Amino acid sequence: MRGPGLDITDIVLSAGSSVAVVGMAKNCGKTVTLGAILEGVATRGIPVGVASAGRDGEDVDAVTMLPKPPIWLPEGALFATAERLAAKARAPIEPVAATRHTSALGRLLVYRAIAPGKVEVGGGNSAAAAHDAVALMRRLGARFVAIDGAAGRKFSCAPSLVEATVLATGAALAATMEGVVRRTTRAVRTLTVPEWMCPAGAEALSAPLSHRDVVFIRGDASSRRIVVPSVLARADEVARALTEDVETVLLGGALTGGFLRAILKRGRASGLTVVVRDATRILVEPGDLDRFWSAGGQVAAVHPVRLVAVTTNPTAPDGRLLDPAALLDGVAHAVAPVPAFDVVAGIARNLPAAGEAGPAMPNRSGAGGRIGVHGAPAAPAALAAPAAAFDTATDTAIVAAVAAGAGRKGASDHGPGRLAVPRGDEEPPREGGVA
Amino acid sequence: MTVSGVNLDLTRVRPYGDTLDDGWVQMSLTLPVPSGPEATRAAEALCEKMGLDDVRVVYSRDIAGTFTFFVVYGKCVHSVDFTAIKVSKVNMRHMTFDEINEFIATCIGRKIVVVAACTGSDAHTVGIDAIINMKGYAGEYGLERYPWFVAYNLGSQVPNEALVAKAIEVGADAILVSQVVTQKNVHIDNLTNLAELVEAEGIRDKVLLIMGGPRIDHELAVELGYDAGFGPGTLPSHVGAFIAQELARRMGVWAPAEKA
Ligand code: B12
Repeated sequence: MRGPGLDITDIVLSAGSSVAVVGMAKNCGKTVTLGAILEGVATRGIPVGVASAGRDGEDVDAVTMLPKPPIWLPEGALFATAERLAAKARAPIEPVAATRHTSALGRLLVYRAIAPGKVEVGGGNSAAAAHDAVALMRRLGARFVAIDGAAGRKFSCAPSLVEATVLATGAALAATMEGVVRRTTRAVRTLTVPEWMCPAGAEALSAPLSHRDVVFIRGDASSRRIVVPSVLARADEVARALTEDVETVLLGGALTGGFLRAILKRGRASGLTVVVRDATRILVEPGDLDRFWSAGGQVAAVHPVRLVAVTTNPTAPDGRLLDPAALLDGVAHAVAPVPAFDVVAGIARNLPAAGEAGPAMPNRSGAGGRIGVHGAPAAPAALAAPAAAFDTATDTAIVAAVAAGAGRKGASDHGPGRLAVPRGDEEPPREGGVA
Repeated sequence: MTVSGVNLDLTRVRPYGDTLDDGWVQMSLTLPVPSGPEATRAAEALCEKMGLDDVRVVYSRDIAGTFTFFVVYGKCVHSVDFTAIKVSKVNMRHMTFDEINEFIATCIGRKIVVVAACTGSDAHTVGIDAIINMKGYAGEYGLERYPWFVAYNLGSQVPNEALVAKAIEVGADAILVSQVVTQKNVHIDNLTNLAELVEAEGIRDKVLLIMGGPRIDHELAVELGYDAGFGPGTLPSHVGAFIAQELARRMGVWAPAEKA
């Protein structure tokens, strides 16, 4: 038995069997947060796998040149890293399988830690690489997978990749506590835009959505789909196509400030909902989003990011130290009902009562198929007894198949009953054994 | 290892000033205080905190009445273990202008398309021009002059959105971004945003993402999820060779020779 109260691992496990830990900025305590989760998961006897969305765990931060905590792995843990980073591991490791990805640091392989120790995890610098690494580690027996969203790479929390996201924030972000809270609140609001629950969605999404598609949905639920090279280049053109009867515009690619400004210029923000695949596609300066929201526009996502916790780090790389409890309180208040933790100080806020409810999902929409008010709590989901959520059957046959070079399609990452949006960027992973 | 007949311990390397291993360094700094004996003392005190012994201000000058510029000489008390240092470098074989063009012609069989820009608020064009412009840099031609490259140089202060839009429009094989100003780490935010945009637009697997600039190195590039980073002294042929080899490798038509 662990101590009283839920810890961050309980919260993460109650949301599923995969998490991305992303940092608001460098030195916000992302690696420490990841370590706390990995340790908690390992303590519960769940086999883990770790991948990265860049590179992490190196001794010295390439940006700030400050020492960084390495990624510690329990015995038996799987991790996906580039060959040349694996050579620097300070734990005995063995290669297990290869992905089809190669970066400037060599092939992206999956290794196993033969004994506990510190490693560098990196080389999965695209969503596709991270996706394949996760699928491969799962087939090799990982029952829980964590992604290190290196250097604030947001793509790692895409719902197509992970079920849960933890955001690490801290004093490194701004000079004052108010600044930290303000910037964190903004990021959370963008990351947790509501799930799009329009009844017209089913029809509008009946065909796969590519990155070049734009779908206009009218009030009567009829829709029109156009293909553009990129909304980035055709913002004005697309905004001009927003006739009065269009209530929703669905983008296959990125949502940027240029498009929002084009909409605002034509006075079309009011009553309009811009829908993206998921919040990782929103790459807008805070000012542009604020203006769009104030003008009555809404932003929603087909696949909502499930933010299950925010962690705070009161120390800044320049030596500044904020009051740990005050910072946690400030952030927790702003992101409620999302649980907030200072994993070093061992304090938490916004915890659901034990045994009662899982972490609230602030971005679940309300009833009636409309987009819910931001921050409306979700229907409580039972907090699954973590260990019971994992079946412990061995995957020996699959491991053997992977080692023999047999390709397999990864399991669907969206449960039944969800709007299934076929993602144009998905391809079955083609792994091979390590020669 | 021996240098000038003296035995050098590579696990304890110190700066060379007048004689081997004496630790002497010269450095400059500016303090936001008016020049005078107090300013000089402050500069010395600060340098002592930085790990210098026998600190001497050898030159100081008033700047605009409120700042003072110093040149300081002092003895560094620290050392580094040179044998423990590992740096990731761009992995490629050097090739000349002609070799690169021939390599592309035979291995890739079509022209390589690149788009380049100095992005965000950064207005320094000289670095990216050195790599791209016809006239080139340091005696080498830029990529525009390569018959097997099609290069679009969008200039400076280009928004990331415009750079990515151009890359999609022309079906670029590589996006080259230059970042010179690094004040308050603006380059980190800007480079990260570009990588996210490329991912969100679904072209990450179709392009090589390459960064460059005086304070850029390959380590940073890898950390931010780029394919390569090029720093000071980069020549157009370095970039051309990397792009050609990496594309060929990804197409499965070429493999680098194994190093022992
Ligand atoms: C010329 C210059 C300017 C000119 C630029 C004119 C122009 N059209 O480019 C002007 C006067 C406009 C200017 C303005 C400013 N500048 Co200025 N500028 C310089 C200076 C003197 C030289 C830069 C240069 O051209 N180098 C030569 C090129 C060839 O070298 P390079 O850029 O390193 O490029 C090489 C490699 O890095 C690499 N590379 C570069 N980019 C890329 C991209 C790719 C894809 C690849 C593969 C390789 C690659 O290949 C190149 C060839 O080897 C430097 C100081 C210095 N001596 O270095 C300051 C400097 C860069 N400037 C600086 C500053 C602060 C400014 C200003 C902010 C000043 C101010 N307070 O207003 C403004 C900013 C304007 C803006 N919005 O960006 C600082 C930057 C400090 C920092 N790290 O943040 C410097 C270092 C001066 C200093 N010590 O303070 N500047």
